[in-house]
Amino acid sequence: MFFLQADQPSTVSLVLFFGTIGMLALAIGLIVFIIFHQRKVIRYQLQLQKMEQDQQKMLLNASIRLQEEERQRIAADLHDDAGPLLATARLYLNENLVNLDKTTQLQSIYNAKQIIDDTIQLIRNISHSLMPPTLKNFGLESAVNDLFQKISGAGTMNASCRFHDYRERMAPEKELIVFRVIQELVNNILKHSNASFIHLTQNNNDGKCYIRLHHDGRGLTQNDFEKLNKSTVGLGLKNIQSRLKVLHGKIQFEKDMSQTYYKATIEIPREEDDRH
Amino acid sequence: MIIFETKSFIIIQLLENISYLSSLVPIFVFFFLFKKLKKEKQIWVILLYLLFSFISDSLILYEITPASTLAIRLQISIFSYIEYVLFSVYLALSINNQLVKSLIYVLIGLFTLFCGFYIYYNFYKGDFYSTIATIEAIVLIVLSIVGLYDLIKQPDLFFIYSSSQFWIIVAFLFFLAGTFFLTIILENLSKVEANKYWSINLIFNTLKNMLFAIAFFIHKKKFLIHSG
Repeated sequence: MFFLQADQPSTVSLVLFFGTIGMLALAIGLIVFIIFHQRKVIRYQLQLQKMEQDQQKMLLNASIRLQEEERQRIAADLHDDAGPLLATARLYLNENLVNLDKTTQLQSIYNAKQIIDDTIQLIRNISHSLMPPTLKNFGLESAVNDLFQKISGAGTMNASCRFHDYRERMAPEKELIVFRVIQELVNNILKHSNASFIHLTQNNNDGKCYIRLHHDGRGLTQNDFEKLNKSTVGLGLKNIQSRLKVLHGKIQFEKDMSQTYYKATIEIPREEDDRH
Repeated sequence: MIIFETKSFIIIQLLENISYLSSLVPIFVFFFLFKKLKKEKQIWVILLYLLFSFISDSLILYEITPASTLAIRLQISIFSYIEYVLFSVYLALSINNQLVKSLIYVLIGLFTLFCGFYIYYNFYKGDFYSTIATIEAIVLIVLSIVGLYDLIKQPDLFFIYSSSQFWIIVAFLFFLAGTFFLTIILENLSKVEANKYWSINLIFNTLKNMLFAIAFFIHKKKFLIHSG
């Protein structure tokens, strides 16, 4: 090596040689570290992306399954209730009616009319459960009041609600989503909790709308909610989560401080384009 | 021994020529890809640096600069200052953080003042080159690390080595790291020793220019990917 041409290796040569090698090693080490670190960060980001995509897929599947279940329920209601009623009405209004005496004819027509009235009421109920006209015409407060009155009317549970600050309605699409969330929560309470009362309150604070649902039955904590969301069961809860995501809202499940009842708090940001 | 010395002289001459001509490689690449690269301010700064480097090497090689050690040391010091300013400007244009950009411009100002005063007070002693070049190397190595850190923070950059900024910073980092110790002890060497060890500078200068050429190619590729 021509750096060490002298008969004895000089100190200068050694310092230069080892110093240069050392600095190069540091520089190469730094660059290799940066490359590997960046790869690690990218791998982690891709992992997070995949987890988010999986979660989205799960929510979408849950949404589709719930939709199919609802369609099946509507089909069953129409097939099992409306179908036989209309078939019976048809029986009363067959061609032989003209051959019967007037009294029998009038009786048949009257019976057919009763059955048709019942069918109209049935279809109205199915339609209202799909899309309550009160919600569209009078807003969320009236629709929730109606819903709670029907529950109280059934006699099994005491359901009440109080809207403290709902002078300004939300946009119709938003109201529908919130109503569906409340409907889902109430359905879950009715099905699983064995509660004797449900109470709903609404208020506004800091540009956000808070809706709180209290009940005294078996409920969920936030941990339970997150566990169920990650699993394949709990379609309704996944539906709640995906609906709230659309509104940039949040839901918090907890047991009250007094440990006597469970509470679900929905938080929805109020926006400028909400209806006044 | 004489044959050995002649051989090493030939090798050094060869390295000198290769180093001298290597400055032209990225310049040719730039003009070859001129249409794609002409809008990039950062690339123009590196081109300016390459031109200054080529001119400085030409002045020494063709003995246009007077052969006195003082004249050569002054020229090398001025070139070190220009190198510092141009690389700092390149980093300031590339880095996104406003605070770091401002800091770089402040450091340019401080380095200018330092160089001016240091050369003025040590001119006739002749020992100003090493200090200036050493401080330049330390500051630029630190700024290179900051530049690399800024690069890894960019969320849309999947592979760091697909960015021309990476290759330019690596080029400077290798050059400064490789010539760091040579810079420190250069003024304490005799003319014969200095000539002998100058080949380290020539090797790293060649490497730096090759990495610049790669950076210009990578930059062209980046344009093609963006225009899809």
